[in-house]
Amino acid sequence: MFKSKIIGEKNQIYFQLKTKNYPLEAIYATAYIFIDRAYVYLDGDPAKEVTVFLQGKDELGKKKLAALQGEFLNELLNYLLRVEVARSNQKIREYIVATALVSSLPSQNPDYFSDSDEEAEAGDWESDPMGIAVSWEEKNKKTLRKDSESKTNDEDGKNEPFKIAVSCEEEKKETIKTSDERGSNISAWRDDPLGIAVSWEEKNKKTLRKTKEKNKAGKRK
Amino acid sequence: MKKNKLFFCKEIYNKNAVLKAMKDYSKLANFNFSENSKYFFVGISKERPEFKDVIENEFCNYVLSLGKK
Repeated sequence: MFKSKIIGEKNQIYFQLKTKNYPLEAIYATAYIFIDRAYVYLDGDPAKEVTVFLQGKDELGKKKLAALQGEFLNELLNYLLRVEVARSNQKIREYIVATALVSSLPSQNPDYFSDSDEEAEAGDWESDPMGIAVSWEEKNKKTLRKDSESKTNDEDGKNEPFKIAVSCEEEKKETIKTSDERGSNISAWRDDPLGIAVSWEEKNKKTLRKTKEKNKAGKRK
Repeated sequence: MKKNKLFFCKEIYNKNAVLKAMKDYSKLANFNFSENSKYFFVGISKERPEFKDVIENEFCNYVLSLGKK
């Protein structure tokens, strides 16, 4: 049995625990459990012995204080076992966590983008809940109809708001006028100093003649 | 546990926990902090009369709950 001392006036009991038998982690955890029932205070040298002071929040007799100490020691045993199990399983836990982390990396796992995901995605876009996949023509059927109707009216010559009904000859005349008005800027491209504007036929007149003559000679033969 | 002056073993209690507890309890009393090679000392004064009986013990519990060494 543990040596303990009860101070009835202070409603307090205290006892020593050897840290060889009871590691400090287990004592901390047990003390934390008892915080709501008693005032807990720890003192001493963690390398050798820790003194635990328990003071009841309500007034407790000597028996109840002794029972409180017993409960504390039982809980201490419980946490001692937990600490021991945690220590013995530490390497296994670390190994499991490490393998889980490594396997979750996409570069290491070839099945990361599986076929099932692709199939699921394919099903999703076909459903088109937002109505994004509808074409522009289907969306704007009404406006297209209006446009086509207005065009047919223009062809008939009923409406002539723009210059669509102007004939080709009139257009040519207008363009010649505007080009004359522009003056020297336009005459510059007509000069064609690099010879780009010359057609292929003009450039290769000689070769064309030769090929024609050859063709004629071949037909005579 | 001594009255009006609390001792916290440096190897058991965390300094940050003691300081945070002092800050959190600062509305209930005045606190002084000092330390030597083995202990943190917390002096309590001008505590509110309604908490006078329990403030020291509650402070100890609170420091314990805040963190271990």
